[in-house]
Amino acid sequence: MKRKSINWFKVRIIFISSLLFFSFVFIVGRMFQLQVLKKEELYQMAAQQHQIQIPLVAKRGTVYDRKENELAVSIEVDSVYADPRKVVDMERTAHDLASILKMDRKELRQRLKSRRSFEWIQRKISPREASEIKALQLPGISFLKENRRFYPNSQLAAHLIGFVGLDSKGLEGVEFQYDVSLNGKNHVWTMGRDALGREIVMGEPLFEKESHHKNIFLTLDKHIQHVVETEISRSVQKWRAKGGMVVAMDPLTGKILAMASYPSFNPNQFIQYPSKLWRNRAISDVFEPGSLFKTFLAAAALEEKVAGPSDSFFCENGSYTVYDRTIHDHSKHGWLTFQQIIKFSSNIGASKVGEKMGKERFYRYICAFGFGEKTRVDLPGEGKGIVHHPRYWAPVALDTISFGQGISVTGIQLVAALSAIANGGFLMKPYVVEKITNEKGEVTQSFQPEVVRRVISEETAKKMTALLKTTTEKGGTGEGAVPAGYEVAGKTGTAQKVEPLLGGYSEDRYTSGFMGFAPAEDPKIVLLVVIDEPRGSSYGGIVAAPVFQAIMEKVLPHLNVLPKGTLIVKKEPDSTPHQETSGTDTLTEEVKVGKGVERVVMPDLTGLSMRNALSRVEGKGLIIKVSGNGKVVEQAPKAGVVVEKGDICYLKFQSPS
Amino acid sequence: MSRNANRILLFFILLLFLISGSLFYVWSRIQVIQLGYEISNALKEERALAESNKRLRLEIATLKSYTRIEKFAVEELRMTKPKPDQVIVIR
Repeated sequence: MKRKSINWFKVRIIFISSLLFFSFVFIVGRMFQLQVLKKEELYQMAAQQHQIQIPLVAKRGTVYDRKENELAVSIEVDSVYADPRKVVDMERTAHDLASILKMDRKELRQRLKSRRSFEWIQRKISPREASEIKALQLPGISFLKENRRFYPNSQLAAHLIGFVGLDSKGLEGVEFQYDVSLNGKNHVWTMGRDALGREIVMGEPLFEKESHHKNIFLTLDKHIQHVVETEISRSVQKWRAKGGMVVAMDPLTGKILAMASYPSFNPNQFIQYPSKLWRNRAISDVFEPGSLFKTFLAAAALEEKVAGPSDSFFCENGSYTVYDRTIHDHSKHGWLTFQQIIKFSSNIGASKVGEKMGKERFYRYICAFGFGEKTRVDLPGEGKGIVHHPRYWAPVALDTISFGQGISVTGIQLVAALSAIANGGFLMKPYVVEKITNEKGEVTQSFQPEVVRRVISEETAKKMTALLKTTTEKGGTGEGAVPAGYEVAGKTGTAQKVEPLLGGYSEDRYTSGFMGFAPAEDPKIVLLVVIDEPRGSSYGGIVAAPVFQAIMEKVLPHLNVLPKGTLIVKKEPDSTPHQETSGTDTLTEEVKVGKGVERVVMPDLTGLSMRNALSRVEGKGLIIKVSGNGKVVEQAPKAGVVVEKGDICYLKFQSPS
Repeated sequence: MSRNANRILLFFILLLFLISGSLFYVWSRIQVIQLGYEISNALKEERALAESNKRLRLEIATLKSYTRIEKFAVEELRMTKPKPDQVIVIR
């Protein structure tokens, strides 16, 4: 039998075909694996090679005062870190870094020995330090950008603004309260990369997206804040006191204009100060207000018509026993009118008014003025004071609370409550943030004055203002609080401090305070000054009132409230351009002088410069009209003529040339 | 003969167009890449300038600190606060 010959040709065809088929299946399978199964992973790998990712640290918004002065600013700084595995010469690296960054060399060496691939050396270093380290080109040492918070005014308003921690998180004050708004979001900036690793923008350039950080504008006034801080620190040092605080508020709106606690700290280096100094005393410390509180007793008494300003009370010649307690006055008084009780700050008088008022009614007003509850000023750590319900009052409590013992309040509560008297009876919610804007400067949120409630009628408020003005008149306890040329309404307060260990009141530790508003008739600012444990003297009228006076003297002109007797010269756009004169003597038109009553003799002003002429007639109550500039060439009335307040006096000036 | 010459001419013209078109395409791609580099540099520069602007603003704010100015005025320039009667307000 002849074996069938094999058709090799066919075999080859089948062999080659199946080889091709299997190759094809293999290729398709591999493609499926790469393009479908491993797609995501490979895409990412490619992207990593083609693209460079620049992490952009979240920006943090700026905090401004109401006149757009920067109070807290973030800028990018370098943080230096090491990859210890890549460090070549550890000894040298440790030595160099330690000397530039002023760090402990041992600790640094320890960190460089670590086996981790990332070890912070120091975060947020200065640009100078960064450039010095960069110049050394140490292997294994690299930099990262981070934001660092700077407070350009150092300790100014430190308690109110607060500060942020190392991770850009607000820890105190406005920085804490508005942390979410202030902080932007972290995001990554993606850019193309060429074969050499250089950055290149391909296609649509990716511009920096909005980082959503917001800027905050405070109601604070940097100028007022500065004055307030300077004066409180001066006074605390002068009286060797334990501390002090000041709050200034606009009574009509509730805007906080300044808020200071002393001793203060520098928020740029907050970590170097004991944490107790970080506390914002003005809102978190509760204290017994002492005589300051008589203000609110008086307001309640007037509103309820329990007593009129001229009603008389017998002040027991300085010693009055109620139940088991004897109440004393600083000086002995017999019969005093209600007005005098406030003026001389008689404790016994206040007790009697309180008794007439009754527990329940008085308590209602205490609550209405906002004591015992938070003012909801948008700051963290606010205290609400201690106000018990009359049900729990000791028998003598009505008397003592009438002059501010046995009740605890915060500084901000006092200011808000006094503002209600200053503004005609409305308790306003104090606030510190005026508006919030986004990074483009568009306002995203603005805060408006908010009335909490009406506490007293406008009429009572007016009467109270008159009553509080007597305190600062001659013979009143707050005499020293009045800056020259202004009218101030206010109240002094001297409170014995409670002995926490022994119980009862301390004999030598006091809180001295003064609170008031100015100008009395059209209040622009309410101010509270409290000095904690002054030595030498303790009276609010002696310790705190002069601080009030010093602050008001500087702050009122800033608020466009000028003292009486100030020369106001209206400056007209110069209508005589051909007359070239130097300096300040280009004043024209009108001068008003508003002080003095008596008849006076008109002085000879010819030949005097404008400044000299005006200072000669200043204070005589004349209405002065001037024309031209240079030296006086003509005056009416003539020298020697008797003039009266309100007379019009014409002065003609001409320049000598 | 002349038909043949015309054809060759047409062919060369087409070739020329093709070559110049390709060259133009390559040139434009190079330009795009070049501009990409420039844009990325400009963006980086913009960021750096914005940062240094912020730094300078901070410096201004620091120099404007009232504590510092007051110290200068009082200690170096011997200035004092005017008394109320020394003030004339010009409006």
